[in-house]
Amino acid sequence: MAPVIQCENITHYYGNRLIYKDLNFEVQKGKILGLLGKNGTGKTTIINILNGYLKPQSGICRMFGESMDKLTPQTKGRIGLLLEGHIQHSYFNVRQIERYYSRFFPNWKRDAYFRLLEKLQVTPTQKISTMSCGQRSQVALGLLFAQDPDLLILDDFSMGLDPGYRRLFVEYLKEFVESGNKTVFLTSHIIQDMEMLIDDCIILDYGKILLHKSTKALMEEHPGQTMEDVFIELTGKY
Amino acid sequence: MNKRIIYIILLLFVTIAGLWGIPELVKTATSSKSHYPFVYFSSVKKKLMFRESDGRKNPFHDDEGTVYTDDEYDKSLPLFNFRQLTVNGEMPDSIDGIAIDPRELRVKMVNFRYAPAEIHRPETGLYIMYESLPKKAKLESPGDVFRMKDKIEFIDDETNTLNQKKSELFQSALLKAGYTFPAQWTYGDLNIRKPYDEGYFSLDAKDELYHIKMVNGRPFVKNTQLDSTIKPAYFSMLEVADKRFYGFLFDKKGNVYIIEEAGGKYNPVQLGIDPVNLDTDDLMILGNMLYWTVSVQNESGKRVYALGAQTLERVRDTFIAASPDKWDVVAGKIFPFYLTFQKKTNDYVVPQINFTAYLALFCNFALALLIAFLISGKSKKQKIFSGIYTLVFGIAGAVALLIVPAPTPNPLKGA
Amino acid sequence: MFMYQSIIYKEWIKTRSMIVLMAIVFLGAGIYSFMKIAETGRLMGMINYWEGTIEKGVSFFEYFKYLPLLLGILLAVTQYVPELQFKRLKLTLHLPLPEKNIIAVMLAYGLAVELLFILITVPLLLLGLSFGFPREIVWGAFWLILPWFLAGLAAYLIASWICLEPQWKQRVLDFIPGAGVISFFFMGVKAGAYQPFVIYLVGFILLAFAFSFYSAIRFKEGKS
Repeated sequence: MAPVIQCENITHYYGNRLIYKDLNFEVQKGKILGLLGKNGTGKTTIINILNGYLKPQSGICRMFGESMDKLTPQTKGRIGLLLEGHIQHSYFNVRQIERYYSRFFPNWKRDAYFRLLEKLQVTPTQKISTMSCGQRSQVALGLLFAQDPDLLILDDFSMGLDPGYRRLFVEYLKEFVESGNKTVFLTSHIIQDMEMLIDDCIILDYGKILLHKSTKALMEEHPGQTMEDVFIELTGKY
Repeated sequence: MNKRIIYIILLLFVTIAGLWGIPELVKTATSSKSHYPFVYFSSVKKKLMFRESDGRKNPFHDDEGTVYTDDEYDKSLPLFNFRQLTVNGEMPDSIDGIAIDPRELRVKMVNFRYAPAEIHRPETGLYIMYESLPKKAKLESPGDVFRMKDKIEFIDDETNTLNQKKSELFQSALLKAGYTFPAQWTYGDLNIRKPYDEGYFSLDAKDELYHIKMVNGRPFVKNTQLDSTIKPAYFSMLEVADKRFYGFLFDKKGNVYIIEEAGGKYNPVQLGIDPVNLDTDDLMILGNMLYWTVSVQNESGKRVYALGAQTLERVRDTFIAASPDKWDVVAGKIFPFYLTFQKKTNDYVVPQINFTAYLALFCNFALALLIAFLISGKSKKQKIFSGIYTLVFGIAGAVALLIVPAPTPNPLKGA
Repeated sequence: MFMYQSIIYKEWIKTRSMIVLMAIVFLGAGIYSFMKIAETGRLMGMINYWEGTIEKGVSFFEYFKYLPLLLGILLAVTQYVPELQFKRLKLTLHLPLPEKNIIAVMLAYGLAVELLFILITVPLLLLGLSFGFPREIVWGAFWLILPWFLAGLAAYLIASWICLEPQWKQRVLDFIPGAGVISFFFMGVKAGAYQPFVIYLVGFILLAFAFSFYSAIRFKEGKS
């Protein structure tokens, strides 16, 4: 089966600083792949390259078989994108943003969005810009659920969230993924959330992949340790 | 749209802005006022007298090079400096046997200017017909304006509606006089601040020049019946104090005439000057009771004539070549061409490419080398393109190449 | 089709307050202009007003001189600054539509708003003037204000190009020729002097439509 995400020989520099050289990885359908790494190792960079928002020095990425700089509108419709910081069009209110997005996706699930938002105790006319970080993250998640994409790309989904909202996010995400053979590619630097969520993980270090394994195999190799312990062991303390 | 195409469009856009903006900035920093001397014919010396304005030590001389003091210069021009000389008690009683009467001196003064912008400017197409014989000593607003193209129409200012009666009155007078519509042009003096009004001179569809005015509220229309060899191109009304003539007529060959009033007839008297180019030449006439000093100036220089006041025949003339100012010198070295949108001879906004000198191409060449080898990046194709672009467009092109970021090559090409 | 309506909806939400405010400003400027014209007519006498206009040239509606320019700039700022904040443009370009179509629709929205202001304001101003002045003067007023309103379209497109540019340094560099070209629309000349030049101004506007695509391409390449 063709992988949903495929990156081949990605090399990128910021100025003279090497981010990665000949980075290769794949994400199979139905898997949740977590990209872990310290700050500055290039997690957001690979998200940007994947979505065609950054031109690497060399190499190619494909999603659903399409090159990252030539994604068709149909393919983009199958991808749900969460930007770092849960960035959304914050000049909309709760109702407006749903109305805006609903027209782009024929299978839009309105109920999924509003069901999630019920729990937030926000009014339909509340502007997103007036919401807390946690509330904004739920709006972003609700929009993704309503879109019902085949592939979710989540850049640092836990950024700015307190433990309560982080746990909520992870639970909803897991439930969503399990409901229908979704593929997820996510990045984070909060390791404890990833342990119960991801199937496979890639640990990035400066300039290279340190490790690419299934979570199960990784934890079996390091019994008694949490994923965070393993991460620190592999990448070293600051 | 292909990013390479957009890049080229952007580059050209910025280059056009630069072809205008950079020379404009340099011109602002370098241009200086014209150093043409003031020239006036001396009725006493029978020479053209110069007053230089370039700050030299002895600015007063004649057209033969003889230098004068300030005092000598003033005395050589009694008809120009009559007020000062009269106060000093140095004004002569007569010149060439002709008595100098102060009143006649004032009445015979002629002061006229023509600039090409007068025929290259947008006009409203509306005119004002003053009463030529006003009951009071000064002209008064008639309370309407008129248009004259396919017919004459008067519009009342209070109601903004057609004054049917007055329009029909003038229309029938024009047709009766033989005027053929549509009018080609109509010129007069719209300024109310003048001693009297002589209405308008209008060229009809058959190239015949008519005089039109309002006398005691009634239309006055007369065909000037000029000689068929005179093809009128432009007329400029000048209501002179002695009512000797109506104004200046320019024909299509560039000859200049006054239209004298001669017992109900219109007598064209040609000025004894070389033909004038209406599109490029500035004309200035300073006349007194004995002589007229006429200056015709364009880009190549200034020709000054002295004409006898009665016959307007040429008595003397001289030519002062244009000297390049600092802007001309600088432009000739660094801008082989530049863009302007306005010029002195034309009130319309029209883009023009101004070529300077071939020497400036060396500047382009040097800049092209600099851009191609030092600045433009690594791709050979980009270097060649940048070099050629700078060679053609010079400084503006180089600046555009620096401002507009070149498209980055696609790393996936060939993948 | 509905997708493009959604994009227009988003642009409307971002810009509606500013549009309403500018509509009030335009209305106020129009009312005030006519009040001043009427006052001048009463104080000078209409015939002197007409004569002054014929002699010195048309000079009405000076309050409108920079309003279309301001509208164009504000439209671009209210549309595109939010898109560049936190790189929200990534969300917009990620929509399931061809990216150039997305940018084109956003630009078309801004141009349509500017055109709407032009198509409402200019005829109303000229109609108002025609009650008190002959058609030649009204036509002169049209040629006087036309470059100002065209400047609004150009300013919108140039400001969009600058706002969409991801690099601050490049925005400053783009501003220089942009400001230079905008000054072509304000050469301080007599009414009617722009008649031979309007075609070039329209040409600049048509060309400037392409510029924002270049900024969007640079955004997609990750320039920052």
